Amino acid sequence: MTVRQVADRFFQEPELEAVALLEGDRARGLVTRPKLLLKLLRNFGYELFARRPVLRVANPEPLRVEATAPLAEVVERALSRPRAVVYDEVVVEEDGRFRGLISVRDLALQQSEALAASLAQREVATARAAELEREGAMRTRFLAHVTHELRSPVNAIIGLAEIARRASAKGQAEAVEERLALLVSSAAALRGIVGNVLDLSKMDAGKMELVPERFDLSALAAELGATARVLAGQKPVEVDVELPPEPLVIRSDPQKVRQIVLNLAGNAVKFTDRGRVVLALSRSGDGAVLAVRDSGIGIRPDDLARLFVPFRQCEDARVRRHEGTGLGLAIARSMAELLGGQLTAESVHGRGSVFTLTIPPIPERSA
Amino acid sequence: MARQQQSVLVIDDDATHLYLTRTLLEDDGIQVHTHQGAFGATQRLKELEPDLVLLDVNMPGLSGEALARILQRAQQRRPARGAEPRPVPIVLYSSNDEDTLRQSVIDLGLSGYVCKGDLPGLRHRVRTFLGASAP
Repeated sequence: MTVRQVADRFFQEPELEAVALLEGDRARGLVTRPKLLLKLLRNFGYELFARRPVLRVANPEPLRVEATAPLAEVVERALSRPRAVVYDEVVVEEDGRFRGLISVRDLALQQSEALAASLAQREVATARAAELEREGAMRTRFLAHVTHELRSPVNAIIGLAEIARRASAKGQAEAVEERLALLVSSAAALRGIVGNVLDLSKMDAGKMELVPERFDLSALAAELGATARVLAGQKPVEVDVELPPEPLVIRSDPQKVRQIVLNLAGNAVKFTDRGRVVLALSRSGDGAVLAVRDSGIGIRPDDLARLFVPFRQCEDARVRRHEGTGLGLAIARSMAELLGGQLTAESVHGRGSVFTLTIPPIPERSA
Repeated sequence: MARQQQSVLVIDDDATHLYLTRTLLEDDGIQVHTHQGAFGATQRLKELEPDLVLLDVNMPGLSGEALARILQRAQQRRPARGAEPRPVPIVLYSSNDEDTLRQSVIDLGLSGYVCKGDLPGLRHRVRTFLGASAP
């Protein structure tokens, strides 16, 4: 090929910046647009070169890089050359065979894109790591509290059994009676905590199943109201149940609804020293809304945000504001969601709280 | 040798644990004071000047500061009848697992720990501490 032929190609293709000179599949040199045209434009340049083999105007020692070389390394090599040749194209080879040309500008662009991506990736990775760490810390704390909550009644049971045995050995029937009663109540507390922990892990594993059936929600609400009255005991707390005029029959999981509402009613009674607790049931479309209102101590706005987080009472490992495992509401909310409904809380600190459970009907499974 | 009955102050939020710990220790001839919850524990400690404190660490309202105050009060006990000033040994008494308790004892610079439910351990350690602090 002559210089003339190559120059013609450059004239015809304004986009073309460089041409690689090949012999077989090996690169012999590189002809770049500026150098060739400069040579031809000089005085006598055309005379001198136009009919000669193109090798005369080619750079016989272009920068050659392996196709598998890392981008950063190639950019480094391309830019560390003498200024005059920095903007030449780079010959890409694989096992000595020519694969193509790439401009330094393209290389730099690629590298900056890669850097931007890696920066963004690093941010994502950092955020993810922080998240994982937080989760890990929460799990550790969670485990510590579960451990403590489970051990506490077990230890009480051991101690109570021992002192009941001693009383029995001494023939103190009354003391035996008292200690056994305490033992039974500790065992019942343990049973409740074990149930909660198992429920939570079941839900965590997605293993909690619904057993839907049609049932009278009005009757269930009335029954739970009666239970709440028992829980209130001697406290001057009035427990009322407000029901729609017609019995509200719905298809849902009655056991889950019972568990959720029992938890809400139990809390309402627990945190209300005097006043009123109301279980209000109403229709909403083809579903139902059950609100549990109390005139109790209410919830601080800060606490309201963390209300449904397991063991939120124990955020600070040393401070627990109230009795209880701190699992009930977390379970109640997960269960409400499992039923397709929602559980929300509103409260004015010092005035009382309202927990609202929406219960949509669960459709019959159709093929 | 006429020896004054030694006393233990048990601080715990759980009435059941207080009741059974009192019963267990009284059976051993130890005078037991109980205080439910963290609030007012410092005052109680000051009034009673017990020979040993069994302190639960998972109480509602027991912040790090409240705990620190209890500890400080115990350290500042006035020596009786011109005797050498000696801090009241504080033993953690909790349902936490042993590793956690051991760590807390190290972190807080306490005298030791007893796992709730470990009845022989309770008896043994309380006796050891009272023996060690006997005049």
